[in-house]
Amino acid sequence: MDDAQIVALLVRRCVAGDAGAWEEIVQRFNRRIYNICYRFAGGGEDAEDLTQEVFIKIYRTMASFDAEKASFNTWVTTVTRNLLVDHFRKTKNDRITDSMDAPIGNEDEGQALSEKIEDKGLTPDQHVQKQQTQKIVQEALQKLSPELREAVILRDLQDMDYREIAQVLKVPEGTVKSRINRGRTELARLLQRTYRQVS
Amino acid sequence: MSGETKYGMQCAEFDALLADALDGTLTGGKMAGFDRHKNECATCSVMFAEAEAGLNWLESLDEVEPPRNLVHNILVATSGVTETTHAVEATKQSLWDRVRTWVTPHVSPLFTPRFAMSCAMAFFSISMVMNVAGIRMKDLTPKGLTRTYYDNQARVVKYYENIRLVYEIESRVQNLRRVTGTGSDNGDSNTNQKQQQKQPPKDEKQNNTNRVPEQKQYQNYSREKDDVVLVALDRRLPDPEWQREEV
Repeated sequence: MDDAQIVALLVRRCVAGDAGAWEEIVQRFNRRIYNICYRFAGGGEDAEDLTQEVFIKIYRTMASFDAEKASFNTWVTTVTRNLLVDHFRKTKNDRITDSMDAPIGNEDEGQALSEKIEDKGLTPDQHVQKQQTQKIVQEALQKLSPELREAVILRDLQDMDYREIAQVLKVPEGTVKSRINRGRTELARLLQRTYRQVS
Repeated sequence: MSGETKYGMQCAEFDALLADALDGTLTGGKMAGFDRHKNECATCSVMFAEAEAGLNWLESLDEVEPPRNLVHNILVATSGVTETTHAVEATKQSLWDRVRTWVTPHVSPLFTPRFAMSCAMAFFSISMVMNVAGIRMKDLTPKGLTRTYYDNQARVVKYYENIRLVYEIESRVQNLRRVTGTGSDNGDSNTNQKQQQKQPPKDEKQNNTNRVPEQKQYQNYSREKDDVVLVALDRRLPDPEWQREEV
């Protein structure tokens, strides 16, 4: 039994009212959804709230999941993306008033897995430098437009294939690739500018 | 850019193939055409370099660890389940983590090579000193410590008693006691002496074969040759022949 079949079985059990199956689904997908929310929203607290909202939505609409149309993974990502876009639209006015140079989120929030698990190969200086780099990249990611951001997050951070991303974003694969290219180049330009300012 | 055709490939086509090229999925003639266009078209070359750099930046981002209570909160918010097996594990882990977080900053300096070297040197020095002092590990057990204590105590007492000054003082005190004891306790001492004569000690009975009580000799280190002998002959001695010979 492969992973997709196991998940399909869990979904059926969950729809039938099995609390254990729901817990298993939450255990399997919480990390993935939290990471998408974190990279898209750019903050730990927002990401936690959004992840909870996503799971509430999944729990309520699970009966509408059709395994023949898409995989559960794609369906979950679509639900997450839709909720993030809604959230983005709702909070757009709030963000406009924020300074573009203001740091995004709390520095202590959303510790990366690599930060929690000590990397014994890195010296303290290298560790600090890595943290700093990740913070700068995350900040640059927030400056991308939502269309480009979601495309690069799903492709480069979630390793989804172009067909799945096209399903989630409801756009053709060519558009997905184009957005990914533009997202990457835009990010590189933003970071180049940042490093030029620093140096 | 999109309308330009260079080396058999339009810039728009290059853009469409860029993602696949960076994924490494381009092969054959497409890859060759892509590379040629990239080398000759300055705009597309820059775009390729930027897209590659952006991909590298994104790949440098690590996965973020969700908060520990996230699963528990989700389950509470959805199915209303308050206790889960994983939540219990998370609680246990959090306690351990809390202890570790508290302990680690305090003990982390101990796990440095310098500290380990110091410890090794200290251990070596202590073991050397113990070896020179004749202390063995088994002497450090409760029994060993007790035995060492009594041995040392006995040694100190023996040493103290063997000191000449102490010995002299003791002998003088005994002499003085004997001299003063002849005047005051004459009557009582005589009766005691008689009793002692009648009942010699058990040791004397056993060892003295000639039935003559052994005389105790008190050595007076402070006495010079010409000094008056304060220690009189023991009046308890019953044998007159022995007294005559001595005189």
